[in-house]
Amino acid sequence: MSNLDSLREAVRQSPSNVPLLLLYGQACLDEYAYDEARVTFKQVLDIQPANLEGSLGLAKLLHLSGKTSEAVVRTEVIVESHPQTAAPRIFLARLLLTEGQRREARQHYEAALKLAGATPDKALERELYEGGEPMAQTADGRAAPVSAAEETEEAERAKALRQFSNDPGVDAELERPKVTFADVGGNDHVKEEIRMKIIYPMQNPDLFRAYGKKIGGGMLLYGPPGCGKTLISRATAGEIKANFISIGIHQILDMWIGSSEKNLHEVFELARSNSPTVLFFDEVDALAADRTDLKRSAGRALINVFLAEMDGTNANNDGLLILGATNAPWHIDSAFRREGRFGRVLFVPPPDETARIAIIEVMAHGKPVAGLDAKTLAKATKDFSGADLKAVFDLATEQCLAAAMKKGEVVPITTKDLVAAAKSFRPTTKAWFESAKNYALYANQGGFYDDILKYLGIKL
Amino acid sequence: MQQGDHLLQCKRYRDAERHYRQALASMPENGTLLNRLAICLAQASGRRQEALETIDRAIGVEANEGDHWALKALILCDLRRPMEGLAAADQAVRLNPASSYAHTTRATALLFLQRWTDAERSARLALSIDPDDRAASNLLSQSLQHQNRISENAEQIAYMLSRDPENPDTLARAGWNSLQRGESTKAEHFFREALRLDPENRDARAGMLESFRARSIVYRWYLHWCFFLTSFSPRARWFIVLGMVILANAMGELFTGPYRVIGLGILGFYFLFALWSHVARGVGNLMLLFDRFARCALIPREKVEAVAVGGTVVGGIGLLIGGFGCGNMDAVIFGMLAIAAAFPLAHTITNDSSAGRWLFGSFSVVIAVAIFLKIVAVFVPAVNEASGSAFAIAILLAVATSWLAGFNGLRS
Repeated sequence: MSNLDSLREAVRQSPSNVPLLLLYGQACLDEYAYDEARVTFKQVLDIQPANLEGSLGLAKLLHLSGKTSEAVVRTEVIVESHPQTAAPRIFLARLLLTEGQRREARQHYEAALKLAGATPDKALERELYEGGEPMAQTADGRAAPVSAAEETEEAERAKALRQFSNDPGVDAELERPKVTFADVGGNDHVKEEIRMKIIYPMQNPDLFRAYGKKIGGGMLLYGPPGCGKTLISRATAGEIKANFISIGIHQILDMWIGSSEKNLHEVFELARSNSPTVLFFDEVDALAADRTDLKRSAGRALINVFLAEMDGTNANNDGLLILGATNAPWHIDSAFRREGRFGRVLFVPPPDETARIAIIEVMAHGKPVAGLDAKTLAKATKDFSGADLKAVFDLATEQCLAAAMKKGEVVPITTKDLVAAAKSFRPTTKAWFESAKNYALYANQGGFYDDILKYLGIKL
Repeated sequence: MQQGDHLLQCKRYRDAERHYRQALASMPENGTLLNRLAICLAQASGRRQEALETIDRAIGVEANEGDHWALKALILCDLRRPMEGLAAADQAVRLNPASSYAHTTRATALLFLQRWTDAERSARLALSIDPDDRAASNLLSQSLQHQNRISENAEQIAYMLSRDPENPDTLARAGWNSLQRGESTKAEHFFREALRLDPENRDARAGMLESFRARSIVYRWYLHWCFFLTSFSPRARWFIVLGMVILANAMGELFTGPYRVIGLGILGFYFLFALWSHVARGVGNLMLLFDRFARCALIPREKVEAVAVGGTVVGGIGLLIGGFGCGNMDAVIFGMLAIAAAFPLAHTITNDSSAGRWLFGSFSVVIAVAIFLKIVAVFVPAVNEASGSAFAIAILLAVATSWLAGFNGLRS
């Protein structure tokens, strides 16, 4: 049963539960079930005509359906009726920005930040103040214009980013991660591999140079989805105290010819000017796809630019570590696997038992879990990814929530509930391994997939 | 939409789907977007019905767009509704007669309907419009293979390989052609090459397993028989099988007196053949379990089938021979029951038809009960009579399986 189905069932059981209806309405929006979302938000307003979230939900729905002007009108009414609430003003600012009314959008955004409980929207901020006065957080958490004297190292980096972000197609964050390998539970083998291949060379550059080895370069992390490739990359940057730039495909791909290549070049330039930097490409197979799949597509030009940037043809890549993560390594152009590009490849398997215990304990935090036996649950969730474990918690929570609504009191989640939820859930890694096994069996040139064969216990 | 297209080309169907849905939120009536979304959905086996609904929405918006009808035809074929698929493909051809894609989808639907000559004609029409249409070339090769036109097919494949030597579909076709010629080693080479290029090519994987099984001469004969049978229409195949039964029985009746042994021999040979045609796959898979590489190529369900079907056949034959040799009638009955169980089991574990799985699965359970009763009867003579009745029912169910398995609805 999907999340939406479970919520639908819960709503059927308890049709006048407003918080549940709002949760369901939002889930419908997330799943693009707009008709259901509309009915649900209207139901909320029938019960509580002044409900803020219900009204905002309808406005969001209008915006998502392409009726932004109508959404603006509706949101303005909400802002008038809730003048002391920040959320509708921030949403109105976003709508106005979409409509091209930047000045009005800024006014609403700044007014919103002055209200109690306002949370700054960094992405919106960047769009609003592009090329203008930057905004930063003061000590009390409020936003305020930054004077030159107050600019911190963080602000300098943000400034560099802003300059680079003048192109509306690019949106990247430069950060200095605090997370290290100590924060990544289990997966000791993966961490040790990264230490040997990346961290020690970076910490002992002279020693490596003495042996004629180049520092930096690239590494490809592959494995089933939701198994911590991104976290491990971030922790790698934390370990070597380097800057970290995480790039997703949507930040590079652009509809205009040549813009994607320009975006990619600028990301590399930003990384080079802030080295040492770990440049992390998530879902790299979409940017480095096999050129035979792309045929005559414009995507081929992007791949050529990516290769040239990785080689440092026109610039120095010293101090730049390029990490790529993918769950479809078989779709990556073989040119990327050469030495100096993603020459080092690392398989990130599903979390082992130790890692699962750590994940389970984190997930149980803040939930009404009674007597959690993380070890028992970890044993029952072999091959589950972090995302799968989250789904198990969600499933158990929904079931207990439905029971709680029937009883009218909190029903705690027990280990038994969680184990039962795990039994009814097929880990998503299974499907991945079914595909991966085929590649490992039939297309294992150069032993590229040996780690998968080893993990599956296949000896050929 | 451009981002979706890029992701679609990169085979990131889930991501592409997300982009198309986002684009559809602002352009809900865009037929091209709906078409692309349907392509993404059709890639996931559990979402083909959703894909069909999506392409129907596209048709609702742009009823005269041939590509929408062609895609609908392909989705319907994947949903095992080839008759409707053919109707949609016909509409695609009517709307866009100069489209090789439309003719190719028509050829696909006709292949699903086992109308080999019509499929060949459609594939050739597609190739007359676009000689480089790889899909049409492969469909043409497939239709030739099913018509047993081996040499002509080999020439067609050689031509295709000269144009594109790294096409996994063509290499798979070359593998099947070699199998048809009885060259299992060569076939294995082609299938391995196809799988190297596209490890998820189901046709190549199925072919490779057949080439492994065809290492045994008995299985090769069986394959030749299968290739021979598929060149006929489904109705003609029924008549051939029916004719064989009548002929075998007639021979059994015709030979009397001192020649009775010949008649019984023919009947026995027929029954052996009938048994083999049902359990060949399972027994073949059992052999593959002993090969280190081939074992890995089997999916879990095939491994279970290998143990269940292969085990019951081999064990049953062993008990029969041993029982006759030692004059132990109990062993003979156990052997017969084990072999009887192999029939429905062979159509249960890897059967894609849920109706077939349920039917043959329940037959298997009944035969298992008969075996259990026979075991009890060995120690408790009081249940001998019940055990005898159960034995008769088990044999009847095995015979019923051999006939019912011929119906398409019960066996995919």
